[in-house]
Amino acid sequence: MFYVPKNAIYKRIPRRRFLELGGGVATALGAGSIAVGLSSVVTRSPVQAASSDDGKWKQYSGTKLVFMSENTPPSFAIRENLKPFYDLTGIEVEILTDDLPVVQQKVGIDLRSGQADFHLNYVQDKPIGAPFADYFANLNDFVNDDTLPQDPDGMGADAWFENFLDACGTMYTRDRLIAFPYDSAVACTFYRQDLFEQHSPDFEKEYGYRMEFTNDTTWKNVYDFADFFKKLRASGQDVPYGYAQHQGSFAWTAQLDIQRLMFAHGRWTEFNIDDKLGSKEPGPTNWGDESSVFLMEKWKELADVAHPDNLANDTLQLNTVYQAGQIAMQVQYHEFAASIEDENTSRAAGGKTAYAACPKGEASWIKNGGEAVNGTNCGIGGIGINNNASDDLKRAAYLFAIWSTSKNTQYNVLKGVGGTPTRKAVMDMPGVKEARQRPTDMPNALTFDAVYDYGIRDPHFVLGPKIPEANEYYQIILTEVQKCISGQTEPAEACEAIRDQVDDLNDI
Amino acid sequence: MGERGAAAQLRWAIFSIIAIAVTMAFLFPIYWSFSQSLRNPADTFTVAGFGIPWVNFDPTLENWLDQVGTPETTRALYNSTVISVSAAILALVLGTPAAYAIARFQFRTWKNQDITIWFLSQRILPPVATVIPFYLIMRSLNLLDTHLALILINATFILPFVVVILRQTFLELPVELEESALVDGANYWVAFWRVALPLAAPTMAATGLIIFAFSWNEFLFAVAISSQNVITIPVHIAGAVDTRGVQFWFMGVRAMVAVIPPVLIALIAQRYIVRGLTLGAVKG
Repeated sequence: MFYVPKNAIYKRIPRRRFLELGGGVATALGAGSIAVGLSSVVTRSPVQAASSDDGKWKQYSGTKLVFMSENTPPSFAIRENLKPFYDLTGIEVEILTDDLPVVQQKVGIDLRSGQADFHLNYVQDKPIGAPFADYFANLNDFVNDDTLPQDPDGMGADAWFENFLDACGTMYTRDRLIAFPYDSAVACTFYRQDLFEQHSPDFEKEYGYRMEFTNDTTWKNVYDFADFFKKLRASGQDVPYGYAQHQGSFAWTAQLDIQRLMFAHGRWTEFNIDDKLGSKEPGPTNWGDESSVFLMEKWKELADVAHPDNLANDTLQLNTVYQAGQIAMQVQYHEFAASIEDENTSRAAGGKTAYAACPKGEASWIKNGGEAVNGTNCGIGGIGINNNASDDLKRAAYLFAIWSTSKNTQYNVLKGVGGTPTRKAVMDMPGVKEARQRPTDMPNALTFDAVYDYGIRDPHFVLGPKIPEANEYYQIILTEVQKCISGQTEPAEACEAIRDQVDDLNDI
Repeated sequence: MGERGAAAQLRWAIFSIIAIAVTMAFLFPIYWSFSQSLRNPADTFTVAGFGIPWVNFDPTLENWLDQVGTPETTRALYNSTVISVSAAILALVLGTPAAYAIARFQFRTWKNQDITIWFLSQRILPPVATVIPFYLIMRSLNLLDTHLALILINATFILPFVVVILRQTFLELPVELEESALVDGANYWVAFWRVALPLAAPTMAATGLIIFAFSWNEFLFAVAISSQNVITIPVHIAGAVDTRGVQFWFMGVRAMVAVIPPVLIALIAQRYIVRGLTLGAVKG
């Protein structure tokens, strides 16, 4: 054994010395924290209500802001083109982007811990807005402030497309506005018009009606289309599958998927609450009722005739499957039109794809006596301000919030990278009306008829559920619906399991 | 040929087939990435079979030309290199004396074996359990989205590997050499620095390469801590998934680019790796 003289190598540290070291580390950490705090410098040149617009825009020149956003086209586009904002205000903005779940976690930590590392946050309506609503500044305070510049197109409900302000800005109360609509993803139907036309005669012989997609096309029709294509494949023909769902791992879009079907049939909703406001105490869920069980059976039947990778495809994968020409129809978010129309990446480009509203409810499937609608839902990404920030930083952040959602910025994003405007005034800008028809240099505009003119309007639009536990709710839905459509549970069992877990989640 | 010879040949054939199958299974993802990187975007979705260039599709270098020269790819390679090399050096600098101490000295309060197991337990700890604490610490220190943050975190996670591997190496070195040095008047530091360390150098090199690879491949902390400035190559690969879909063609290029540096380093340092990993395998 190696010889060790006593007390030579493992010399003990005296307790006093240890405490001194610990104190030193603590002091260093404290100093670091103070340094962090001091680095959030804001500069201000006070202005009056009667000051010039230029003065109001420049009142926080020299300030630096951080905006944590999802990696969406508007964020990339704005990040690449921040110079006009800097020239206008003298404010430097750092835009950080990540996947939505990562943004959700980082923003959540920041908000709940009382910090303001991110002065501006991406407020994706339910995943971020619903759980963290109380931590965002009330934008109404700034909208009515004469010492801040205001958008000439206004900030009221009329300035935005229908329901958008409610979707991401209004949570639980109308007294507070937590976000301005920043970008949107609204569900609509993408379908292969070329294949529908080609096979319509054969389809009509078998099903007795033309294979076409209109605002009156129902979920029953969707089943027939999918069934028809699947039988063609089974007979050896080289055709894609007819239909596919978002039942992969991204829980939110899986929930939105089945919500569209449910809402289309009698405007069924998960809770008996105001769908636009949501509720922190939603009460017992409607899952497990006759309507939900029946429609879950239909959902499973649809899954049985869908693309075989149904359980693996979430939003992006489903779009990829469609681009590859492997399905003839998908209900997808309208921001994806830009990629669908890209001839380099999509076999569905070049006029082969048409866009329509979401499928309508089938009258014979309605069990609650309600009306049949084209159930349409969305993800509206808002831009909100961290309420933990100082008053001046919040005011500075407001300048960026209104600039990034202004008409000109949204138009540039639409034209540059295929954004999705949230402000009505964009529709009147040069070229946008023309872009709604082929040929177009703004492919997302091809969806505007189906989305902005129809789908987002009541009675078709469904927002909820806005509940604090929205994300946990999505995971429950995904798990149970996957079990059901993979044959592990019966539809009634799935609905009852959802009901039990959701009620438990909400302390019922 | 006798029965024994035939049986041996059969065994050899079976082992060969298994070896080839296992090798193909491991190499197939690399081949598939390479195949993807040579395809037109539309071909990445639709090519059937084994995706053999010129057979199943017409290959193109456009994806490579598009990606290799972009600042994002260059920056990701730079970031990964700085972080991985620095973390590996830091872990070796801290871990080697610790390993030597555990191998050569008797500790009082805890047994040496317990300390070793404690170090080993840090490798078993699920990294995901520490993401939020690390995130909060780095935020408090204003180190989010910095190289230093990822260097420190990576070093933390590879340090136990260094300690455990090098401890065994020092244990297997003949202690008499260091005792001779002490008899000749050297102190413990000189015995460690002049005698033990040179003998352990091949293993240190091998360990360094392995922990470099660990840091190179690390994704979880990189995605949590980085936002813009210190995007590493694994995060850059994942960035091929954007809100519009999965750009498999770019993902293929980025994956191949990510593989090249560790493979080159491993090839160059191959003999050290073999020496390092076999050191002490046979006791005299």
